Amino acid sequence: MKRRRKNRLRNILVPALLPLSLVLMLLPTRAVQPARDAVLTVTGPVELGMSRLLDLIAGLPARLRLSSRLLEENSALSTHVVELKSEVDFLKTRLTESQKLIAQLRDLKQVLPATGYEPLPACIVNKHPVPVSGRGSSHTFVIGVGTREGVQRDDLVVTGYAVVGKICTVSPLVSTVRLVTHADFGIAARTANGIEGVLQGQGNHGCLLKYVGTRPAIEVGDYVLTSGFRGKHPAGLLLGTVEDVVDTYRGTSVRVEVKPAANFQQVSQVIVVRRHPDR
Amino acid sequence: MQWLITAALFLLTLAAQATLATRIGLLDARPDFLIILVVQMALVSPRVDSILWSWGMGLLVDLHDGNPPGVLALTYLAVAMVTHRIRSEIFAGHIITRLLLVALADVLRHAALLVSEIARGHPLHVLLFARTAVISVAYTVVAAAVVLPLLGLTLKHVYPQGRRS
Repeated sequence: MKRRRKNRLRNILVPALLPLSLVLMLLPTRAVQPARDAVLTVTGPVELGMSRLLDLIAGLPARLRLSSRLLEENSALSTHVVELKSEVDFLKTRLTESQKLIAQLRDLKQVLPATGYEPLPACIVNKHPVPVSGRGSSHTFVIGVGTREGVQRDDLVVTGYAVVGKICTVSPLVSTVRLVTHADFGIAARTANGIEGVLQGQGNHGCLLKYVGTRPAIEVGDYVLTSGFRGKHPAGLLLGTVEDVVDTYRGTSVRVEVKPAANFQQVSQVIVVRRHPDR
Repeated sequence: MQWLITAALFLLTLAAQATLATRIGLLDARPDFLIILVVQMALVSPRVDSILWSWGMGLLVDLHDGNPPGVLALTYLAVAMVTHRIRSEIFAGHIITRLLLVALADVLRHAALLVSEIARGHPLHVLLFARTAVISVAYTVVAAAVVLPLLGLTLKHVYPQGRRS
């Protein structure tokens, strides 16, 4: 029974659909429009969803490339941040040094005579510090100021109160400083209790105070200062301390060994005591 | 449940035809996923189901695309009837046979659309139409090579009786 019904349905289906299709083909457009709208109402959301899904899939390679590029940029930025942090630390150190230098300048201005000398801060460009053994050094510095800033040969170079050396060579941009330990260095000096002489470098880590007489009243620990002889250099700047007083030539003369006050290993910035052009 | 799954499958195929096929078009030709569905359904579903679904799908596609209603309905009906009729006499399980059926069905579809355009008096560049039709048929066959196995797996669960009825 069921099978016969099924066969009947199968037999009438095609003959029924054929004329129906022909009738539908002949219908005017306006009659079909409501049906078209209804179909679009059903299929529209599905098409919209699929279109968005396809847009998402199509955009994946670009998103992956972007992610990869962002990862690279992030890595580069992280490295840059580390470098910047290191730079900040360095700048902080320099700021602290500069602040110390400003304080030294203020103190120095109080020591220097009112006219005739002008302090000029300078950074050390090239350093050949005196090693502990006192050997293998040129006993010179190169500093980053020159004739452009009014620096002259023989200008004194100090750090704080301590004398570092004298300008020996000048150019418009840089100058060479001959340290107090240089074999060719010499400056008029006196001890704190007034004994005058000449401080000379020995080409090692120390200096000698010469021409002080046969029996000077000098003791170990005495300060040695600039004497300001003929006003060439300001007086009262610290050159060093007496380290040893040794009799020589059977007591006819003494050898006064002076330890320089400036620590050449640690100094990074100096002050040039520029002379007024009239001096 | 069968009807629901088939209706959902048809809606998805129609949406794919409207969105995906337009994105992967080649020289104005696009693959026809719907004709692939009609052929696959006719190969696995019972006669009444395949006839009704094919006609119904064709009618809805006509209404969706703006064709005179009934053109594709009759075309899909014809494809379903012929495929169902010959499926027991050919090696319908082989992929080459199925691809040939899809190619013939697509040719029939293009022919029906051509006749419809001529009957409506629309201006038609026959050579251009022919070129597009040839590329479209080839494109549909290539797409069918990928889509037919997937549809076959899906419809096997919807119509587990297969070719028995």
